[in-house]
Amino acid sequence: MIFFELFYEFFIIGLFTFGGGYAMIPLVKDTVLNHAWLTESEFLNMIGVSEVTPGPIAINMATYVGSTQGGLTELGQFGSFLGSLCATVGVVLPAFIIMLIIAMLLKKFMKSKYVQSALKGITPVAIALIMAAGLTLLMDVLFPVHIVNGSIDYSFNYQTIFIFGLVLINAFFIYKVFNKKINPIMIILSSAVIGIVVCYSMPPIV
Amino acid sequence: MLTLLRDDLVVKRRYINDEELMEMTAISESTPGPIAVNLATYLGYKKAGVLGSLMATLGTITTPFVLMFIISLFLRNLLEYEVVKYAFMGIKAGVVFLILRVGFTLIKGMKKDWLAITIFSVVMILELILYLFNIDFYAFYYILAGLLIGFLYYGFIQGRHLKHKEEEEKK
Repeated sequence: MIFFELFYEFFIIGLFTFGGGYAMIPLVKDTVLNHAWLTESEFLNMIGVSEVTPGPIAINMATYVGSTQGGLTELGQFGSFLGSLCATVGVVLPAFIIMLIIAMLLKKFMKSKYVQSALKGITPVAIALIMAAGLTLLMDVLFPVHIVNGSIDYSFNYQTIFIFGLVLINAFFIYKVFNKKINPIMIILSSAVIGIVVCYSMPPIV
Repeated sequence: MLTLLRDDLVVKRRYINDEELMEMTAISESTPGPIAVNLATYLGYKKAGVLGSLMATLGTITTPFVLMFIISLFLRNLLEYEVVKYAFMGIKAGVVFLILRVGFTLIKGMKKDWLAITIFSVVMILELILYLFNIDFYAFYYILAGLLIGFLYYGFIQGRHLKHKEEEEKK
């Protein structure tokens, strides 16, 4: 039952995300790739859209995955709605319940030495997971994988390498030359322009 | 987001003061789940009980839910257009850049005792190996392990070790 599965998987994701937004990306990545709900490419598209729409990335991701998976059932668009509802409620519920309990009775609990100790152990894990997700996704972007007749074929696309280089230079200019803080929306929108310009001006080599 | 919250909650509506906002944020960052949801639940409860926390949380998630739901219905069709496809080739690179940037910023701010560095390296290396060999694994197992190790080491072993030192110094 896909709806229950969506609820359960996103409940687990919500339960094990400490630190919000970006800490959730590696967990969602594992879940959607292991279930083959999205490809790496679709996953990155989804984060790109989440960055430019308002609201917590977690909600955006849950809604998107739920909607696309629910839409595959025989229920059609109602299935999309039900799927996104299940995933979103799932991702929010642990935070809601735990926070409610803490607000009600356990403010001191958070300050306890043992809770703080456990959190100290989680921090390096969360950071390593974000870095690893970034690096593996970088590999996927630069060397897209195609599965041909069951064997894995790493293709090499000079356009994507060019695009990534320009994105880096662009971020450097925003940060150093214009002396502005790097704003995710600005990065995403300028990257979109870079993508369009590069792809139209440099035909792919086949 | 924090500046937005402050403008509205502290300056305009005077629901809470700066100190309370800081404390709320600290608690939200160390509880699981999206920070915005944690904050909404906490503040909602403080101001209007369980119903308040439910309403505040619903308020936080409704707009992104509706927007993203609508987008999700169209995104796949939009990607059939060449321009959109090319734009997303750029966006993908931008997203990877943003993730890596957050990673580097967090590494800079990480407390670097030997255990933290060991945990960090082991998780990184394991993740990369699993990726290269295309093995399915769930990230939350690492988080569970980190939780347990942190609880045992920082909670018991390190504390006792320091106590020993203090006692020896007293002698």
